[in-house]
Amino acid sequence: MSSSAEVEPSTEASDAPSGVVFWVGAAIGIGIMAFGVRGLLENSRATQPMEFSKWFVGADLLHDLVIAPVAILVGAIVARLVPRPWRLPVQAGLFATAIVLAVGWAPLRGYGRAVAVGNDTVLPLDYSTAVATVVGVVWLVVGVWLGTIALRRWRGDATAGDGRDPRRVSAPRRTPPTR
Amino acid sequence: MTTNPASSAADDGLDRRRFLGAVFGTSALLTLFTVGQTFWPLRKLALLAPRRPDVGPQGFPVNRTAAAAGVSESSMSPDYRLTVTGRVSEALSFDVDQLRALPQHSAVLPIACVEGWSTTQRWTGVRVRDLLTMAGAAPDARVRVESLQQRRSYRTSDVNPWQAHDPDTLLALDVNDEPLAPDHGYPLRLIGPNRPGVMQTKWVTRVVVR
Repeated sequence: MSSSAEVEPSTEASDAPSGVVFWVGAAIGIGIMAFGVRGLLENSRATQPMEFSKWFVGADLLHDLVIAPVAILVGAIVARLVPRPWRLPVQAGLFATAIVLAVGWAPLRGYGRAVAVGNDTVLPLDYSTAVATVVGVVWLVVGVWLGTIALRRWRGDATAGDGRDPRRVSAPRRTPPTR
Repeated sequence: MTTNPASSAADDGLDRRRFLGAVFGTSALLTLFTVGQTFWPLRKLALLAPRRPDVGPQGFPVNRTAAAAGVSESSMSPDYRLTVTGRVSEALSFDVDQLRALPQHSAVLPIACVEGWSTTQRWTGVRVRDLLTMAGAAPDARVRVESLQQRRSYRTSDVNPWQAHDPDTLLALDVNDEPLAPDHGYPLRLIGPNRPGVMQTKWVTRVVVR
């Protein structure tokens, strides 16, 4: 979650905010935010500004105090334990798993059922199985990816001495799969 | 895709480009497993979706139930009437049988909820424009429909003149040739094109011409 200060794009090489694009962008952005705040306050019965503030501030705190440190810790562990050619798929897999768990958190916990008592069409599915299935798909993709790397390494070893950097052969640049 | 010769660090893992790739890939994955709540062909894949467009009474979801709206009794009452009032030359009142005796029309229309799910069904009932004609409303009339629901938001909704005169804007009695289930607005709900789901008002009891 970005703070508003980070949202303003700087088209300059330096980080100092300047230039027409910045100020026009800032004016538009601040205008949109002001419109949002006005709506938040004017429709306070529906928007519940205090609840909103809790989420607005809480999300930043959750990110800075929990999610970022955990990500850094896990990243450090992975960097230590997983050797180089295998690292990218493992990192991508962990990244995707974390996002799936974050998205699956509310249905897993059944948030929303309490305010929809008697409505069986709210959260009608088995979300434990669902999250497990999607995470399974992620690691299936990771497994295939690792297998491909292993195969290329093995082939790279077999053709060693052709003058190419073996590490580059073993870990070719490729975009992560989009599935 | 160009390689970056200066960056052996790129092989370490998630550099910026690969990070963005991971964001894109994970977004695509999550979309695949949720889009079925509005994209019918992928509904079986909507594992993570909070709604399934094929789960609910009469085969589609409910936002607010009759019990939650407090209309379980009033919607089933023999005293139920639909009235057409306001700027009309003749105020009208119908019970359910009289509504069924009016010319019936069908339209295939979606309920598209701002929650993210949507479902398309075949609705049958009375055209709003037919009621306006019967009541002698002005051609530019704006219409407000009111629900039996007494409290909370969205108990009324406005129908602009274009929507009111659209042949597909109905006060529906049936969905897929069955009377509406209580949770879908029995005996009468508004359904029209180009309206958010929350404004397809259920349990309609009054049409006010303005």
